[in-house]
Amino acid sequence: MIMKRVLFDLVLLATLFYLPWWCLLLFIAVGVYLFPFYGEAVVFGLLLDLLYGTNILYGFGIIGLVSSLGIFLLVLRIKKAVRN
Amino acid sequence: MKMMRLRDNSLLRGKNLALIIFVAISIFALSYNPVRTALSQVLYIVAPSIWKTRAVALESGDTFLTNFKIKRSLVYENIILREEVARMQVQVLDRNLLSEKVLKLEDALGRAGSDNRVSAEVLSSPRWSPYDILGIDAGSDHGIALGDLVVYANAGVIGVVAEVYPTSAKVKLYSSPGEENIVFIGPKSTPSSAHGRGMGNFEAKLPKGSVVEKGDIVVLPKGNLILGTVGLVEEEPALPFVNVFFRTPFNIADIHEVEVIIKK
Repeated sequence: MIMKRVLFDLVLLATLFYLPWWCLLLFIAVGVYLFPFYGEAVVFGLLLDLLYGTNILYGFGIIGLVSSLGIFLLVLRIKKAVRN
Repeated sequence: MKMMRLRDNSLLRGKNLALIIFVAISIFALSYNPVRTALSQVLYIVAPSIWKTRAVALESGDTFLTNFKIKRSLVYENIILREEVARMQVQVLDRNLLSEKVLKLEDALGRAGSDNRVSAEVLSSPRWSPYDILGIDAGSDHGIALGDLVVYANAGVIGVVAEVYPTSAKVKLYSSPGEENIVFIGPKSTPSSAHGRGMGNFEAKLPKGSVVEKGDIVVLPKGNLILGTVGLVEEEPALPFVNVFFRTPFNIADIHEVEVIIKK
């Protein structure tokens, strides 16, 4: 399980650099659904902002962090509802 | 069983707390400029090399896919592109003549010596990120500094340098949502405030009755550089102004090289 999680993290890292940003958010949603407490989602949101944003932009350059946190909480809720 | 549940609950609480703390620290790091710049600089040690491999991979992919295109569509595309190139060659000739005249005029007025420009390759464009930011492969080592203007095709200004690292930089586009710039619109250079709408698109308001029509050029006062061309003028009878929508004359997402005007 840990190996799968590490591999998935590497896939997300590659997505961060090689694919458009919305692909990363999609993979984050998948990761939160598949793995228990996928906190790495927020880390990748932070990396997205550091890589592509500045703090003098609209949204103060924290759109990635806020989106990944939002997806994390939403998918967690959906997961609980589906499993109940 | 009860003990295990209690342990799981306390573990979950611990993870939640750790996540909250991490998010709080991240928000601080992203909001406090020196920390953000330092962290970005670390990422930008490896990011440019990775993005260059992406560009090579995309180019190889395009070349591979061309093999599967039907010959007829390729021939048609070729004809269209040849016509476009021929038209642009004529425009370039005209611009070259104009450029020579301007240089002679500047020389006569004692303002000879044009700006210094550094060419830079675009590493990441707005299509890859949720922001209207370009990543370029030139930085402070090449003389680039914060606030330097960035132009495309020698004339169209697109933004300013927002963050600088030794060998790369981030360019904030003028069309970023929330950005506001004073511009001159049309043949009468009517001043207005242009608001960015993202991806090279802008919106401005002019008083009703202003001389403006589709195709008019919009210029940034700083450096007298072209910002875009008017695409649509929208008038509502009840309002005392007209909405002018203009955009860059090229697709921001497709540019591969820019020039940074550095201060001497």
